[in-house]
Amino acid sequence: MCLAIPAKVTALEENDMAVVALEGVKKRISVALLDEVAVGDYVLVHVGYALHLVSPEEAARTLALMAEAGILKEELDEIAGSEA
Amino acid sequence: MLEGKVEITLGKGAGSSVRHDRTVNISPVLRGRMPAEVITRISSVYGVCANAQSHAAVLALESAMGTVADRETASARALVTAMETLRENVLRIALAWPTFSGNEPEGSSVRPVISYVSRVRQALFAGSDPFAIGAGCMPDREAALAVIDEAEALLADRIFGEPLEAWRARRGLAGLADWCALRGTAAARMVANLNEKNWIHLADAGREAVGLPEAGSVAAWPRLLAGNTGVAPFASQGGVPETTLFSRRLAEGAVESLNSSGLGARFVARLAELACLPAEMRLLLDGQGEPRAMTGSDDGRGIGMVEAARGLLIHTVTLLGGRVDTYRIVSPTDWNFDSRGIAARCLATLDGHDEADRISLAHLVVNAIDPCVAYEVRAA
Repeated sequence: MCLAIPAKVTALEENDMAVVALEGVKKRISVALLDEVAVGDYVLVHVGYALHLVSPEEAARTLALMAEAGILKEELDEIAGSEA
Repeated sequence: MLEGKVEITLGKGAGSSVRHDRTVNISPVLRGRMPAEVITRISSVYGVCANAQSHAAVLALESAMGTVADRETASARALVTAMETLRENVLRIALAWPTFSGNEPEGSSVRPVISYVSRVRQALFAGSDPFAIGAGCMPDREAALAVIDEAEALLADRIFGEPLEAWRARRGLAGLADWCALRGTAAARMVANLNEKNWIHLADAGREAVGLPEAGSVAAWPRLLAGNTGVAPFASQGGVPETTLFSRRLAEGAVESLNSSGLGARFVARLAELACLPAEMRLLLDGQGEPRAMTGSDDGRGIGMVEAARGLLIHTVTLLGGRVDTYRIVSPTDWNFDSRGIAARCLATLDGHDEADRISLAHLVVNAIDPCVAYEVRAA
């Protein structure tokens, strides 16, 4: 029931790791739960793991809702606090 | 976080405190919206348990609108939510439990679980949204059964290391110790680790305030939950009731036979949930199961209640001219991390331990109650 935030994959690394970016913030996450992922994909990120792919449209819609609810900045701060 | 953050302070002598900061009210994002739009918005914002959230939302909205789903659709919706519960608990075990004994998370070993919810949705609702207002199921029984069978096989192989019925037949600490000795899964290692440290029975807060009030009074709940009073109207001398996998599964043999409400019983309850879910999903598919969801209305308020991955999830709504006027979500966190909730009561039992152990135990208490909640532990 917790929040997950969409982010764009900017680099793939060894050992099922990847770097995602959102609003200029970068974070290293695990993509071990995904069958396939490519640079440029949007993924839903929760506690350091990509849970599944989302379309760019769904990512934009979710980010807009999070901003409207006043929680996007807090989520970004939290991601920045655990910067890769 | 939408559900706020939990701050735990471990005091010396003066006991511990739990502070749940409810930072965000979802209501403004939903006010003035049409019911169908509410479902979409909730599903987008709550990405992790989107199905349980959408399920509670549609039950609340449909009851406020005076409609009710047919029994087959209600069962199919419950099956989708149950599969999401299975997925979430598998993930929390695979990702977190190995780390408590210094090992790496085992996410890739349970990767197939990610696909189960979308596959069971497709099998039961043929690509349409199960939680749309007025949805009707179009079940492909064989396809749904195949997903459930696959989920059970994954549980047997990666979580239990033995058939689910064999695990469910285990009784007492001796039965679980035997399982730990025979099976090398992360779950078995977790229970073995607790046992080796003699931590199985720690953090036992008793069962006085364990259960929520009877569901028979559900119609009165929206009024009790309204406003800023939170879950306080439900508190008794024993504290605020809990809604966890332990309270849901305490009658299950492996849990009940531990005769304890300590850490071990709480972690075993998470396993009991997983061990029970495939059979319960088959019953739902055959029209014999009871959906773990309730709905009702009172004085224009609709209420939807769903047993989700971490406990009971409640949505309440009022409509004005067909649009949302007020909306409230009461999550398991609201009950369990209330200052008089189960987390506080468990932590209060740890006063006699040294600081390092208390911090380790506090992390275990939080994970046993709710492996998803955002929290900090501080020693005063």
